Amino acid sequence: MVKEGLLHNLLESALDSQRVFPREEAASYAVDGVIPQVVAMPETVEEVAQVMRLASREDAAVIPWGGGTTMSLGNIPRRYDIALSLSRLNQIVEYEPSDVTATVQAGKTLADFQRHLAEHSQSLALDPPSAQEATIGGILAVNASGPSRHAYGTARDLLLGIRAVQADGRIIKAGGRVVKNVAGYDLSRLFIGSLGTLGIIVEASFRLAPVPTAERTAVVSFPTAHEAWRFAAQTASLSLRAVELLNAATVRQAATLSQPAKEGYALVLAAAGQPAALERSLKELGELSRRTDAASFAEVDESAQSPLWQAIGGLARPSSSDAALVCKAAVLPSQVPTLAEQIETTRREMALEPLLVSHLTAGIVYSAWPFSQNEDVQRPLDLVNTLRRAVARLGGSLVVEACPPALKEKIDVWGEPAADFPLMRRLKEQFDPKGILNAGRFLGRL
Amino acid sequence: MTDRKLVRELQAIVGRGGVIHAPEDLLVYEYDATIERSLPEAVVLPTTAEQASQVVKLARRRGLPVVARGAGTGLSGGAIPAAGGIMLVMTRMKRILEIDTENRLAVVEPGLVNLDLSAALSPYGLYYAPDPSSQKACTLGGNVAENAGGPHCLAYGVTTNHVLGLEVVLADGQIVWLGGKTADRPGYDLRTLVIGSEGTLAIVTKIIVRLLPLPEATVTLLAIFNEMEQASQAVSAIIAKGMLPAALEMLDKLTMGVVEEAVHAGYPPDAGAVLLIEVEGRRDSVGEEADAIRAICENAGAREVRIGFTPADQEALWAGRKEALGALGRLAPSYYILDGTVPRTKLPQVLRGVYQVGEKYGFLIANVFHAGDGNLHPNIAFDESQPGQAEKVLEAGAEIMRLCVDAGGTITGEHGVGMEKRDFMRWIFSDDDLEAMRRIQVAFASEQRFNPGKIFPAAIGSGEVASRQRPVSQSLGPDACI
Repeated sequence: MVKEGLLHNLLESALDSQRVFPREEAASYAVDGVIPQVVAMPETVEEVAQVMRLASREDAAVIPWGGGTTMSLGNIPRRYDIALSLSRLNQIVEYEPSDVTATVQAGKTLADFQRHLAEHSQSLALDPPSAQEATIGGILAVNASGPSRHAYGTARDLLLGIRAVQADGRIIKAGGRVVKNVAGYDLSRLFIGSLGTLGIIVEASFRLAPVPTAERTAVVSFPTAHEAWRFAAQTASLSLRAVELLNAATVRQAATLSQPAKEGYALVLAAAGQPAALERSLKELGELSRRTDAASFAEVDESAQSPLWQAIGGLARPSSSDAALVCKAAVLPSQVPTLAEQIETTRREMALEPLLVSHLTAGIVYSAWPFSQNEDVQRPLDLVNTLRRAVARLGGSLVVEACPPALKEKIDVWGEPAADFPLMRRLKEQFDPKGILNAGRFLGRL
Repeated sequence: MTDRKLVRELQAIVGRGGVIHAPEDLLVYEYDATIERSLPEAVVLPTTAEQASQVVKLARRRGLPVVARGAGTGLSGGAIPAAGGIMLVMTRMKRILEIDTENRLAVVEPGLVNLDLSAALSPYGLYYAPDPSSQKACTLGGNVAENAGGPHCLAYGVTTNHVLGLEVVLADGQIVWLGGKTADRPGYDLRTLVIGSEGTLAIVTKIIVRLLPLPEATVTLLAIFNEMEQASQAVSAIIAKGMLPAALEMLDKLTMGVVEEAVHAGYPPDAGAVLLIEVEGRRDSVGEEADAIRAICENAGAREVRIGFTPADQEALWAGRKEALGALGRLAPSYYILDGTVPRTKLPQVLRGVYQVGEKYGFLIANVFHAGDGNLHPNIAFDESQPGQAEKVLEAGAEIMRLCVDAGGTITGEHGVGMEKRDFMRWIFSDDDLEAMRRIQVAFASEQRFNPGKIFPAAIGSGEVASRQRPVSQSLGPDACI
């Protein structure tokens, strides 16, 4: 434990005092109720390195901070001295539209980055929730994704290289800026989803994608998730950007839908591409819905599309204000219906009204369970255990993405470490021997 | 001379037929598609992960390195036992263990030949996308080790984009799964590290691959240009327009000339370059896309664009590309294949530089490569029997690699670092970068155990003598591929 006040003074001598804030001003940087001693806002990569050198020397625990949109993810920090905000590292380093690649600093928000790219009708094909606040570094650190992963994959399919500051302050680069590169170990992809526990990403290079000429959205509803899956399985040849499965409660919340169902599920499908191809895709979706067990088929008005997709992105995701339990399960796509059924059973048993949103073709199922602020920890705990058992039977994983700290004290939010965990521990020890980066927050409390 | 006791111990693990130790038999395993040579002490052909694990444990007890090998088609010396030791040849582990058509994945053993997988999948309307040009021979285990690419990686990505999980044997003999069938697994993405690690971190014993539905339709275009610059412009224009053909390959004038002599592909003798472009997708949309690409090529100055809609026509258009490397043997007794990537907008500039290097050293350099990815493959033709030529080729090759790095590119796009390019690693990575990679090896406890002498530059002051490399290939004949 570093002496209170000392860190602040040391950091002030390293950075401009305008960019160092004491504990009294650090409440908004609390993680699971733990407030840091000091907030540092470096403006350059070299300053990030300085902060880390100092932290390493003083054995101060650091939590890197991007847009702060996903700070609910992770176990309770074992210790937390410095909040290291990357928000001022927000420049585009290099953008060559003709190469369809770009290099950007980690603190740039996704929305800012996209606005810049949109001037050349290009985009980074990642659409996690909270694009306005979420930063590139944070998105990589938590491996955030959205409905577009159906067509474009996840960060690991788009990332070309990174620069990162290591726990001891050394700056490293991995990968590069070209689209094909096999020189050395693939450190940049290792950093994806590592929650900033191996180093702090300060810069990232991506392959970009052209913005599709046009997009149309259709909503098809089904009595059960099994029918929805059988439908989705027949759409492989269509040029779809997204295939999302929603339960009835979620459909009701995404209020732009005209005829919300009381029960059952809806598939929300986005077709993207050239207008002619779009028309054909929509037509085939319509025909398919008539041939199968679909209860209804509706095309969404063009003006309503964008709000609908935004709503879907945010629905089953953690919000800092409520006491909801948000779980992210990953199973085989074909087993999503089985899991949805299990969630349905649990819903009835517990008399709760969860939202369920699934990136169906990736097998990712988000479920958000409302609990009141003063709810005892037991019911949410039972729920997590029930879901974990169900997911384990299907060979998948379940991460509790948000829950009250009282519940976090009783579980590893990432689930049980597997046989590869000793290797992960050794990796962590190699990259952060003092354990100062996001101490205790990752799988197995690394 | 191989130690008799070692042979007996290995035979106890895999049976008599699974160990090769006679000196004359070992010769087959001392090289890959480069010209480096180094003999293993013994070759072992395991049939199970458990056997591979036991061999690794035995090697560990005896302090011997272990080098895994698939088909030996690698182009950077990845499968050469630089420090001797035990070679694990994985070709007997070649079963397809599972095909899950619903979730579009397959579980396979590492010795399975790349093309055999896609052949087995075609009845289900599926295929495995990465298609290194050696796919008739190369194994999926080798593909994973080198993070192999291929002509069709432009649209679909390289091996790492298609591998979901790996069962591996670690340096202590433990068998463990990294990654798996489901997405977004909690914890570090260790599979990512093993893919492209050139056999230095773990021995792969099972692979879960992602499968794609076969495209409904394919259209192949062959665009002929008077000038290489025009072809490069067309490549840039196609990419900048956001079009992503399945393949976008270029052959230069020199290559076209020898290909024409060898296989009569129908290339005009005075043309400067051809682009071979493949568009895949829905039956009703590939035509539009092909038309758009044809227009771009014509705008860039293409004098002729041929289009193939039927498999037979397409095969004819591809014939020149597929035979290119074999045909290069006509240029000179030997040639040296390079592999580097540059930003696609830098292609014209770097290609000019490549030819200048050729002129400077007095070599013919034939370029046949994955233009859409900016992945160059200059082939330097030379005569190894002429004294001093091999050294000069190395110098010319290094100069070309330098051009790639200076243009913002890298020293290998798909062949790997291996033994060949260890000393170029410092051109793109600092000591701190390399040290971070070393930490990975330390975490895997695989240093000096798995495939030593690869990837990392010889450490200064460590006493390790960088084998004065001769990354100079003899004419590889008709089976050679890039």
